[in-house]
Amino acid sequence: MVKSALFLIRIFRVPIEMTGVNYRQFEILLKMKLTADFRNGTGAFRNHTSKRNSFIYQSLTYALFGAMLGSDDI
Amino acid sequence: MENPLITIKGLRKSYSKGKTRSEVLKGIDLTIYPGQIIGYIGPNGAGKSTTVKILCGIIPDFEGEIKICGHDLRSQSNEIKKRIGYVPETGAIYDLLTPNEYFELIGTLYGLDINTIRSRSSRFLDLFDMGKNSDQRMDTFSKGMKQKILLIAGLINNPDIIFLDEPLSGLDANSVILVKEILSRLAKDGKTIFYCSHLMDVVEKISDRIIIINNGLVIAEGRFEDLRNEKSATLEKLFAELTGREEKTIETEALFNS
Repeated sequence: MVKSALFLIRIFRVPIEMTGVNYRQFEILLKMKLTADFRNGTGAFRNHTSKRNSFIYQSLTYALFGAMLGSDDI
Repeated sequence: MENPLITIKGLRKSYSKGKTRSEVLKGIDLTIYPGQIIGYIGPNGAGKSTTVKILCGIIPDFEGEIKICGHDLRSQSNEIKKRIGYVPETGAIYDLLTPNEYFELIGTLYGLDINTIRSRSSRFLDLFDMGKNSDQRMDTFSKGMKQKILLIAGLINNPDIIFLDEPLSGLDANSVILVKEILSRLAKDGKTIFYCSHLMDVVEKISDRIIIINNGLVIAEGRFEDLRNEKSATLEKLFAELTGREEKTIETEALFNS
């Protein structure tokens, strides 16, 4: 599931890189954060019925905040 | 003479808590050359870990001037971070990950490709007899096993300078011997090692320059042979003599005699 989330985020690679983010570093941080959360069962992963949707939302939220915090302008 | 690798001038650091302000470092001046193993020792609260954290760029606000590999620590800390490795005493390891995943994270942040990360980490894991644990989650690991992971992570980018803050904490005797061998080998390869500890016997054996700090100031530095005098046959005795531990021994005696 982590792989599919990363695949989805990769669509936004160009705009993310345009903010000055090193995409490789951004992706590995996102990958490890999602992996740890998935194993821990925290955040969006507590509710098993909507697990997949929650996972996508969480991935997008992390990606958005990561891009904002990692950009050169901030 | 060789150019210094690390130059520290007038390093000061203080912490504020409410209205009280405590000065941890009160003006440290040091020059470190390539290939040296520096034993940085001092009693608890002397400022050892604070110095190391400042040098690694973890604590950004300090007074004084620091140059590492010719780069100014304040303005070029990213350039410096590419060339250093840091092994903390107790690191906030991401223990829900496996060692391989953790090394992938650390190595990628250093800009290494995955093949380099895999080959370096597997060699180190095998050396520490942990090859079979490479895909196990680290939340089941003992303190010593986690410390080995931190050591490998600190060395994975093949750094020019390695900062070690009590690296032998929690390691078994065989691992301690192995780490000592690794450090000696790294020094032979021209790496500079900044070793921060209060295990005197290890510092005495591996360091070619010893720096003793107390109350935020360097109180002695040089080769152990030069620091040693008739009274202090070992580094432990020298340390006690310089940091006032001898008076405490008399006080302890008086306490038990009373």
